[in-house]
Amino acid sequence: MRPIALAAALALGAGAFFPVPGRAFELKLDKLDLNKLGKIVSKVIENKDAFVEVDETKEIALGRGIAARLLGAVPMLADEPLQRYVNRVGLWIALQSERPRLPWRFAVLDSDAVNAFAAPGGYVFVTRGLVELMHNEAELAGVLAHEIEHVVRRHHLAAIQNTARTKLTADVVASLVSDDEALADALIGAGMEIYAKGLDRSDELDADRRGSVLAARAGYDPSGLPAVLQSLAAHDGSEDAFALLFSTHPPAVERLDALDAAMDGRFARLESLQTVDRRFIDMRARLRPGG
Amino acid sequence: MTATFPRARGAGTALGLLLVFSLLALETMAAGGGTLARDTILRQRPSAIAPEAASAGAGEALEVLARRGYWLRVRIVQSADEGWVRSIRVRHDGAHRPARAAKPASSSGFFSSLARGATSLLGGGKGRSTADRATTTIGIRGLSAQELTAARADPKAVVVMDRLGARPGSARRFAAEAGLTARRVSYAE
Repeated sequence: MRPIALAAALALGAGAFFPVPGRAFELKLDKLDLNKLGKIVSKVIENKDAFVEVDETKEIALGRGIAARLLGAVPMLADEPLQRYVNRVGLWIALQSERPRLPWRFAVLDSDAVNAFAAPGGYVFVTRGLVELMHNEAELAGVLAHEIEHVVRRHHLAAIQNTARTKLTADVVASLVSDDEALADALIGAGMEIYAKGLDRSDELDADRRGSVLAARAGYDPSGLPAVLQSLAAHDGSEDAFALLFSTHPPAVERLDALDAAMDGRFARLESLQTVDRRFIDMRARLRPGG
Repeated sequence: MTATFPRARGAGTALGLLLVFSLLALETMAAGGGTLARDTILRQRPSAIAPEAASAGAGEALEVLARRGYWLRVRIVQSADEGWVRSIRVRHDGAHRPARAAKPASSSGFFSSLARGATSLLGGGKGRSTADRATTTIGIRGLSAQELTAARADPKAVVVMDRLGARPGSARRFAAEAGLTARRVSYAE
């Protein structure tokens, strides 16, 4: 009876906000406390308008589940030196953020698509296609800083809570409360839907502004992120590689306008900010053997 | 998946880089038109604290004369005034027009425009191959909205991602190697 109630109750509206019944949730090996994830949902339903504080262990567990699905969709690039490089750059930046002690992990995804993702708890992804657009480490830093700020500000977590509120009723939650695996799957599914649909515009502009500040806190020239936006502005969503990015983010020119207004004059007095060209160019060259 | 990069582009990029390193001045040719995004002060040098050369208003048409890092030397079409502005301040002509045939993802940007400049200075260059488009379509498999929401978990891959993570000490040393130092910058506006 339970699986039927599960399937019926969770097949609400469009999208993939339903679990795959019977699939082993292998993250149990990592000793995640799955029933606690279910309690998040109950709290979220009760507190209709508030953002529910989720303790860090649960946040990381949820993010880990989302990361597993994303990596199931597209694998990591099989180049260990490049992955380690991005991790060293990314962690240095994250150490200057307001949540330096999260278990920050970074990965380059093996795809021509131009995009970047962040999952709660500190999982950050950039595609090979996006790295190929960049000219120096300050531009990589700008993008990583933008994604780090999504995690710092818990943008995805808040969006997942909104989805839970609109898609789950108290009755449904009550019938599922002991089916931890299904509930965890449901929350992770909501996370994947956010990658497909995008965050709020205000979240993206916030991450741009705060990302520029964060890049400067890490010693990088904060012009890196706007430079990437300039590269994006030269393309549009009719190109396959850019289709998902442009359907889930505000237009690059709007982001540039907003960022310019926020940054104007802010960084003029900082000295010796770096772009770091050499080692980035060496690393990017690994993306094109013989190119 | 094969990565096909036209030889002309590779050669163009190599020539472009040679040009950068061989020039004594850091100014480079990066021709193109655009408009000014906001009222802006044009500076005599590529620095926020350089003296003012001129000023120009939002929407003014301009030509890009040169580039130095993230500064552009521009000429305002109407007034013929010249000066340096931050590159964030310029909206380039051709921004978000629908792409024609195959424009590979990496066709825009500073180095590519440099390569184009280099080949035209040397008397011509090949256009880009249209063959890249087919490769690109195959290459984005997995990162469509539909595939993302239908994706199955790969928990082993997360374990690999953990293993490749850096330690704070290593990250700090790596930053120091590049001359990066932490700055106190406030988030508040």
